[in-house]
Amino acid sequence: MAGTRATPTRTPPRSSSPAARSEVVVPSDWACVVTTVSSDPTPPVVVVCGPKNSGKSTFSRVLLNALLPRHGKVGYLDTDMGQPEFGLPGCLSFNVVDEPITDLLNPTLREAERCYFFGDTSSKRDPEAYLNCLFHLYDYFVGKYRCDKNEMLPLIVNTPGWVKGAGFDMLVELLRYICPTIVVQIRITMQSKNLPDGVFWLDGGQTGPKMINIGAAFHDASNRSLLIQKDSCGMRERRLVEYLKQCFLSNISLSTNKELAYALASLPPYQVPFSDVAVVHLHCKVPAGEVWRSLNATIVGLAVSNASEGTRSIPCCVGLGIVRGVDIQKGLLYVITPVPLQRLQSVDLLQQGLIEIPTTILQVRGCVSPYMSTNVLHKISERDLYAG
Amino acid sequence: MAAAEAAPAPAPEASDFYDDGAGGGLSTGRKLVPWSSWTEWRFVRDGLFSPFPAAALRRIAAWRSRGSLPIPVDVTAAFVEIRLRDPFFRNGLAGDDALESEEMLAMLYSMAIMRLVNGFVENPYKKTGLSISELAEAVGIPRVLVDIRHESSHRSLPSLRLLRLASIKAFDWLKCIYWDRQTNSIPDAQVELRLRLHEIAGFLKEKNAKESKSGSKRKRSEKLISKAMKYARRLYYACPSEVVSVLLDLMELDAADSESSDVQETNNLAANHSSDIQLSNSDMKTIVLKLSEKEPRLLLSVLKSVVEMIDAKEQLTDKGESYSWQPVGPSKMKRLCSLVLWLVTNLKELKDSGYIGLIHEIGVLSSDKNAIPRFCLSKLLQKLLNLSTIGERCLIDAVLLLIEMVNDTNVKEKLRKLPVLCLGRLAKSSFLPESRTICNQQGSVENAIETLELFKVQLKRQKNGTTEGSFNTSTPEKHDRWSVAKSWTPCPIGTVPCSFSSCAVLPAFDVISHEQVSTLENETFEEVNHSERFEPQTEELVDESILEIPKSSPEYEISDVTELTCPLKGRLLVGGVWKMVAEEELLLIKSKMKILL
Repeated sequence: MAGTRATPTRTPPRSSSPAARSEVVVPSDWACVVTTVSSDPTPPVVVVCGPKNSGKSTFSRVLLNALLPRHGKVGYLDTDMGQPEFGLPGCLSFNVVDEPITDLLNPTLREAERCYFFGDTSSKRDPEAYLNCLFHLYDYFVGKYRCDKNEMLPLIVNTPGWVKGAGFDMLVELLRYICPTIVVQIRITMQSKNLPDGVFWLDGGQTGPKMINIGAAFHDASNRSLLIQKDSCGMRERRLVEYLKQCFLSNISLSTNKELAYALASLPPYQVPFSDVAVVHLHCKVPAGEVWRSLNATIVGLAVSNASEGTRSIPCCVGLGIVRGVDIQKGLLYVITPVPLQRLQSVDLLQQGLIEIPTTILQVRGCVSPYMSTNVLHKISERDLYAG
Repeated sequence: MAAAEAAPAPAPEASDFYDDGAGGGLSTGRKLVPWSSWTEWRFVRDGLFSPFPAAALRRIAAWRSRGSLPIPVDVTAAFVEIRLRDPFFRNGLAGDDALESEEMLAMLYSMAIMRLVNGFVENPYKKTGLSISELAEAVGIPRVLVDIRHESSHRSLPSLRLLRLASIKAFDWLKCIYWDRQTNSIPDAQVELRLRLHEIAGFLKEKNAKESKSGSKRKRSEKLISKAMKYARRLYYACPSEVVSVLLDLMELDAADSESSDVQETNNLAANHSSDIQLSNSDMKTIVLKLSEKEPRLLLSVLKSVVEMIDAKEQLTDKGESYSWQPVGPSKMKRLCSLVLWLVTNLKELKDSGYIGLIHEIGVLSSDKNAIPRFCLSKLLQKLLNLSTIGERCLIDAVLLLIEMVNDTNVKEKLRKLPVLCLGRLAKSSFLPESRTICNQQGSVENAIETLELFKVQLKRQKNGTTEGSFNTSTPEKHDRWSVAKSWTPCPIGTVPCSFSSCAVLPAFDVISHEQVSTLENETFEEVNHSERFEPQTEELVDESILEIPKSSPEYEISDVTELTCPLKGRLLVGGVWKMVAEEELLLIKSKMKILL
């Protein structure tokens, strides 16, 4: 039975990009900065920040590729849960990358070295928990890759594009905790959207790290920054679909969503007794009698509670799964996940967040989920407004 | 939809209603919702508008955790919850959760109203640039709510008196704009299907009448039949369980059942009104067969429901609420049993003619969606054998047919040795009690085997626990928590396969009471307790069902034939034959079992 499942491997990057940006031309100021950063003999800790859609992820990829030849491996702290670089939506992860990124325009799915499930695509619901996860990941990196002077790894921290209000406060906290050696700030031509200039996170008098300001990735004819609008919701859905495809061997062709939906409905799932897993709702309170109803047909984080490491530790997430069914009489949960069975055995915690299940995998002829309903009253649309 | 309800149009025009779902009641678009059925949605609606909304509010909390909660539901729940805290609406009921501070109540009301107005107009506001009040007017939000939104966000907090009034207005508006409108647009699959089925029956009659006449008219009615069939299939896709229940309803299983005929009548009311054509049992069988040509799994679904009905009836009998010799019971039971035989016969026919394929294991990408895995039939067989009504001749015939389908020579041989199936051929009522006992015995042996396995697993766990320290969170990897589910059949995400047929069923969430769930949660890691709970029960079962006679059902206590109640005392099923076993032999077997464990 185990043979029918594929172990998660790196899937080739998707070539079909939604945006029509086929060729990457690295701007000259970027190339210059990348050379400076990568020529430093001591492995740097680089934080990349700037407003959304300005090109932080693209710059991080270019930088990662430039750091690889000298250092062999590069640490990457993925802190943008809405558009994660290597991880899944709602996850914070630390990765060690040892091969260059071939697709500079799109994120690729990779198994993380350490991952926490925050359960939402934005940190706004729980800034404290978000920062806590982040600090733990950074501590893990320092403990493992920064202690031995001879085997230090460089680190790239890619930050979310939320740079105003509470987002700014969190960025300040992050910078203060990490104390990076280099901060790269991407600035766009619309000044009001930018972060403050200089070492904005430090009080006067302290010596800051090296600050480098660069422009956005793309410019229009009159040299204004071109922000690339992304369909982030669709991207998240595609990413989850891509992840779920790993449940199947690569020789099974699953080109359409319909095929995947049917395959997921027929795949014998993993089962686990209620008594062997604890259920945690990360962002809301659910009455005891309603727990199974709340879990059925939703996405959960599969986590290891690490109770031995003390109460302050955060459960590590080994992957995401779909609770595809609940059998109350037998007391069993049925879960679909690409996580291999052996790895699953340590999972004793199911974390439910607010990551929504992609609707494409819920409907295929003859196998439509009961949660996909017909005749649902729509929100009041513009058409209704003008008609009235 | 409205037209379909208003006038049961004459047959030819009726076909216009179900053209690609335009007016057929079922919308083509689907949306992700947090409820698993409209029944659940109605439960919440009725709860919110009743004096006891606690259960409905708990359910909405579960919905909220799933995401995709419609704004009107969210805001209605908010108003209900605030009212529960407001002494004004509590009718003087004093309680701990009542909120005495007027300031706090005013804030709660203002926030709920603000969220209501914004929830409805914010998106169009951004898109159109119209003012909030203009948009609110277009949507029909009472003006006072818009004013309160403005007042409470930019000026001083409105008075509690005004807010209470406004909250009543808001509540009524939500009921009208969302709850009532949604109620009206829920498709009634039952009514729809009844309508179609009557049409089909009508066409069939027409067709038969014209059999000798010209071809063109016959072709027309054939076309109409296939159109109606297509719609019935769509309904079956959308809500299989409701379709099956309607089909069974129309098969008039309760014809002689005076007890439930009242209920039946009200159920049939719609159907009777909508058409003058009465559906005969044979009509229904023709229709079911026609449907099953395209949807072979329909037969399995119907079979599942019938077996469940038999099961339910039996349980009633066991409880002593109605005895099998009462005039009401047997006739329905007989009908049900003969229906089982009819269904199995047709299932076999479909298999023989290649409509249904029998396979060993369903592949992930099996191209044949009508294939049934072999283990499903075995499970069905097991279920039938476990029914205490197995003495019914029809059921025995059905069982024999199933055995033939499964073509498992092993089972066949074993069962042939059981007296019931041989006796069943020449069944006389006087033999029935005995054969039933044997069948019960067969069932309990199977149960015993299962419990024995369970026992083994539990013991293994316990052993692990004792050798490597107690079970708690610090040693989480002592046994396999996770395993791959066995005998899985494809079913939509959010459902589980039925235990004895290959149909998908929505999990029954309400089986365990709230207390039990909370104890379950408290004991999450206390494996020792868990296994201890099982232990005594298992031992009892092993002892009783293998070595002695099982508890006799009340039926037999009434009959004073003591011989018959335990004809198997001192016997053991060895290789399918009941053999006399001496005390010492039993002890030997028992000790060997221990070795096995």
